[in-house]
Amino acid sequence: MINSDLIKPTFLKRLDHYLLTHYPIIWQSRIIWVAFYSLSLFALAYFFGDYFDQEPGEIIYRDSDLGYNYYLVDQRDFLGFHQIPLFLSVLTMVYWLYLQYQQKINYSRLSIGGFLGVTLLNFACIALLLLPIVGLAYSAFDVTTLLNKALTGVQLILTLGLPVVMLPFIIREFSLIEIVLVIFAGVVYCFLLAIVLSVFKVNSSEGVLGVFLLNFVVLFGLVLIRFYRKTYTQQTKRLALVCVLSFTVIFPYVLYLLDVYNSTYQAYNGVAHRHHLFTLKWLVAHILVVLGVYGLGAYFMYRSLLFPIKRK
Amino acid sequence: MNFEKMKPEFLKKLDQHLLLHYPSIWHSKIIWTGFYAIVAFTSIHLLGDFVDSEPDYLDYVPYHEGSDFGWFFGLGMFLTGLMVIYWLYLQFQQKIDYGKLSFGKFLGVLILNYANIVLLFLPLVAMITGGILDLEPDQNSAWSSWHLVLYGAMPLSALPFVIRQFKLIEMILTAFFGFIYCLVITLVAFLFNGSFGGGIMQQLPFLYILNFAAIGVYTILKFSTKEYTQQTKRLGLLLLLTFPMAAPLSFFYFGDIAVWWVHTRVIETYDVMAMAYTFVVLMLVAYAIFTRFMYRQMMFPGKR
Repeated sequence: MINSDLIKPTFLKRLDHYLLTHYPIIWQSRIIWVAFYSLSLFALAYFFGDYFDQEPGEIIYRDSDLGYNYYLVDQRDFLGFHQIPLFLSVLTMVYWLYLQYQQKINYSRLSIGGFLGVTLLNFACIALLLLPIVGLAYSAFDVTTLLNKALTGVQLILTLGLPVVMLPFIIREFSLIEIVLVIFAGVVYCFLLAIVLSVFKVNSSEGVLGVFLLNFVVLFGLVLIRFYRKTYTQQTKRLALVCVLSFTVIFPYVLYLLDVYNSTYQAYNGVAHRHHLFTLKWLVAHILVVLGVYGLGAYFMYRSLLFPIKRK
Repeated sequence: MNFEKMKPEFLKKLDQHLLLHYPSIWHSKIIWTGFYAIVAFTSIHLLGDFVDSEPDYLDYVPYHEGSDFGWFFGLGMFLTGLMVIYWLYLQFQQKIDYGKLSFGKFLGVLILNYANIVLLFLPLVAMITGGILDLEPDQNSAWSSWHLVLYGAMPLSALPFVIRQFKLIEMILTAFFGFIYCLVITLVAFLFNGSFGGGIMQQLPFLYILNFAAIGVYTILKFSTKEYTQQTKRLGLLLLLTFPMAAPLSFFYFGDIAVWWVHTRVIETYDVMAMAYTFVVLMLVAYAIFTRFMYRQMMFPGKR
């Protein structure tokens, strides 16, 4: 392996050491190194990315207008400058999760505030890991439509990928294949539910989502009661994982019910849409509120898992 | 959930027979994937058209024909991908010893693995034949995804032989660095573009093939002298994973077969299909040769 110690600046190493001895919780999130790599990559991508991409100017179809020709040329960059980097950035998130998993961090001394803080810190790491993609998008895409399309992709991953901020707290409870199977079973469950509903002619998105929310609430209530009474089994933990992972998907519908949005269509556009890129409303409704819920959930779940189980 | 109740009695008996007499066939779980593929294919083919939406169904519901591709085919792809991961996990867990297999049997196991993965994806084809995807563009993109599956299943079917040598995070990082490596090659090629008269970007496939060949030779040398380290194994994994991309590239690059086909006669779809499927078989044989070589070299302790 390349010795990455050589490229690390000394003052950051000192800061890292200071954090390790004084604020181990902050140190564990590796925020310094995530920020260092992401910001350097962001700067590289933002300032130098434009030298490597294709510039619109070539006319492919003489019959079509100039804008469409520009779009076609610029679109050739989409795979190399957006989709592949986004995939790689998701892989770095997996690696970050793996580091968190490996560290066997003990969160038991944290208060509620501490849990919220760590959740926020984790979110900062995730957002930073996606930052180079944003830099690349700004330098590589000269046509606004494509730039917005790329940014929408980043926003979508960031918003729907929020469960990642809570995973470090609970990931040690599951084996990897368990997580894969839980996702599989969860998606199959929703899929079968949707098919059954479509047989009964419930086709509107409000109807289907309403039933999904009902299911979510019932499952969530069950998990909550089991955890509260400490009569949970591994199955209950898996249900809790399903709730954690699917929360970001069902939450926009809750926002619609709470009259934050006028229709479910708008609510799901609020997650990621080219006309609503990183708005304040998105930040508050889809990020901060969800982070708060995850922080509280992590506190509750971690505490219940900490003490031995009463079984009958 | 108890799956035992769904399994037919005669298959259970056959399974038992395989376990006793042909353990390598039993290991691959081909009976159960075959059973799943037939059941899922039939049910999607017969019932699929009742639950999807039709092209003429336009009453401003946001769930119309256009989203059938995403909801049924896209989601089906995702779920099948997870199933493939589970199948790989089962292979990983079984700690199978392939050391005593002759080349023919090794190739047989590889083809069996390949058949397994393809069978897992097969029910998705029923969406085309069964009427879930009603529009032709959707059907065409489904077919091309199916052909991608045929290529993507090759490295996956070779993975069970080597998967125990790596940790999961190692495989993820290997894939990551493979991408970065290709990216760096592209950037370097771009920087020297001027010195080559500006045409080097068209030669990018050739650069990739050269790199692939160089890494291949290096890895094979290291393995044959048994001087390999964990790093060499990772390079071997990278070769396994990228072969389905490098092989067709070099095939078209050196053989100019595509040009030859166009010039000699008008291409019939049937010919292209026959060529593609022959190519799949050839590549599987190449996989068997390389994987068996790697497996046997790794089996005995290395001279370090």
